[in-house]
Amino acid sequence: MDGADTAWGYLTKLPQLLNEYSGFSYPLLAVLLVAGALLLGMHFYRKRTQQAGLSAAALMLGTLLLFLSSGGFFLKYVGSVQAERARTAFITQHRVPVGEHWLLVFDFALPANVDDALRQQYLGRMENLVAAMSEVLLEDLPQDFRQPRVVRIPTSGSPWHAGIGQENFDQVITELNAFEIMWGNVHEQGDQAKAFLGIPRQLANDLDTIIPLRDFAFGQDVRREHQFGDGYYRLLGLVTLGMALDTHRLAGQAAGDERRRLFLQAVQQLNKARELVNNRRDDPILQRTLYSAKVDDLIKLSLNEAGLTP
Amino acid sequence: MKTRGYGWAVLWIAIGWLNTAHAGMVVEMRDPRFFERQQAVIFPKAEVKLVTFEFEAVGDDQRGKERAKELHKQFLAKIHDLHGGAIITFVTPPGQKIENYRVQAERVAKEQHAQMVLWGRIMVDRAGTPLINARLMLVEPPPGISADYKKLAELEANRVPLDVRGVIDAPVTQWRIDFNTVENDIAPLTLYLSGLARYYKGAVRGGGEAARWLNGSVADFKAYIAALPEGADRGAASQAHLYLARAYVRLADAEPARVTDHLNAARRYAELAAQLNPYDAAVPTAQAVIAARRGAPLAELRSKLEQAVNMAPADGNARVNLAVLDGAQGKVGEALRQLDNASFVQKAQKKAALPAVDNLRRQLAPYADRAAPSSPVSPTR
Repeated sequence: MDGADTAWGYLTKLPQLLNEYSGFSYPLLAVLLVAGALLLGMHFYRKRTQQAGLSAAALMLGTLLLFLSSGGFFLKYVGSVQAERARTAFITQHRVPVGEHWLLVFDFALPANVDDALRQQYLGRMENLVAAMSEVLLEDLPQDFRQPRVVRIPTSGSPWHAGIGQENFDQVITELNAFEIMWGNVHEQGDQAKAFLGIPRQLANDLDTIIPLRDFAFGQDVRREHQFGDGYYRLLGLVTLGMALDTHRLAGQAAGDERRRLFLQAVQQLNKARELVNNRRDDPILQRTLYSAKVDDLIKLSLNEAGLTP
Repeated sequence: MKTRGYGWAVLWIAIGWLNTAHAGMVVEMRDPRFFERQQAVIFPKAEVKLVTFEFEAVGDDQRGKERAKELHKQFLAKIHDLHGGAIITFVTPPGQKIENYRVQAERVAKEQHAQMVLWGRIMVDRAGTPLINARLMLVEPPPGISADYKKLAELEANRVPLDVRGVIDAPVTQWRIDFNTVENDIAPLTLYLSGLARYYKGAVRGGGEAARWLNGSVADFKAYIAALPEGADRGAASQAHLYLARAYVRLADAEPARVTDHLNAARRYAELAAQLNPYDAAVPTAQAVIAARRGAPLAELRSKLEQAVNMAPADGNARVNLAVLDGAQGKVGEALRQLDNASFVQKAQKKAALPAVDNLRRQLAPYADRAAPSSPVSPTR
């Protein structure tokens, strides 16, 4: 019975080993597969040439290597196909329809060691944050702009569950066809958050593509900042700026009177955006973006392109 | 006075009627589908009507309703001498809310034939301070200001001088004013609304009666500015200064004996408006009108009108103003280019063609030709 127990013990370890192997890189798996194949090949070659085969231990090692590495290959491949399917499904589900402006707000990264109850509380605050931002755009965006949508994107379950950052934000924007995205981190104490706004490189026109927003209260009522505080002006200023930059991009691709019309619309939107948040024109973030000299140049350029300089 | 109107439980509390100087009514909407029904026009003969809504509050907070009623009372008291002034305030009973304020506000105000509509949002911060965001829309804006412009332009020696008579027009283009967050006190807002209501009334009258209402408007807007902490709300403060400038321009017509004083005051307030909001295209246009009335040099007018076109390139009217000026300087080609651009911007926005464009173009066309013109032109709007 001891032998059977030992064999059973090894068998129960097999799935664990296979799982471990599926985590190896393809080159490593290839090396292990070749090693296993070489051992078995050598054994059968010796047998065929009437020589003594390899020892039982070496034969076992070769068989195991061959089995585990090929199994690892298979599992890894199946895993990658499944991951790709999940990624495609996520992107299909959350991709912005062409021609629409959606501001995608990714769930903020939470502090380490957050229990489930606290996680749910933070997610509730994310929901409030998105609702507060949506209300502002619905009520206060001038009619010169098409109504955008603010959509919350769960980070868990997304292809970017490790988080959004400088290295991948442009890929996220491109894959989801967003015109702006927001992501952030909740501070350790939980009542403050740091957020970033990303705009696509193709729209940026020499402006920063990542705009760090100042820390804001992420407490019981996030409306305080985004409907009655500085966040209100930043949200309106940066969303309208993004939309105007998109109009400018479209103008560059158009021809004839449509080109003139779109450049005219871009200037009109840039001016309107500046007028809209005039109350906070000294805000350092708005100074660096909407009120920057680069936007002055863009306005002049667009007026020229439209042939509408006074 | 209380009335229970329509079977579906609407409580109307009338505070006054039009046979008195002013009128006010708080409408409590118990039926959630209140706005889906056709409403009777309340105070149909009112000359200046303000519709207000309860301030949207979070959760079950009732302070939005209380503040709306408070504003109602304050405004009513403020316009006690304003014949034809009226306010209607819509509130819901405790536990209910009005949905989609922006759309409802505009639609209801139009149905009520109101000139102004006010709505907003309220929240109480952790320290217990109520924060209020008020939004004002001018459903039917009041008249702006304008200046007749007349000049005999010298063309080349072999051509007949060009007699230009045009109008530089500065209508009210800011139809919406988003007030910055105010803490607790809505009294300054009442002053602003009262100043605007008086401007509405004074701007459509002449002589002594106009002067009476315009002086009242000036007093209220000045009181509003004085009540506002410095730098607290540059957008609304700029608008208040601009209305002061407009009121003084109109006072210059109503009180010809004080024309210089009034135009100087208008210029001063327009300059302050420009400093407070350098992105409002209505300000340089108003400054151009004031400059024209003061007989300022052409260069000053041109600079202001160009500024207005740069700020609002889609404003056809601003381009016509510039065309009038170009025509007055004998720059016929430039004037025609401005008119072409004015036509383009109107068309690009699917707006109707401006009659002034065709009028001015027709008058200038003969001069665009290098051949000697047959007669002088008198382009007017």
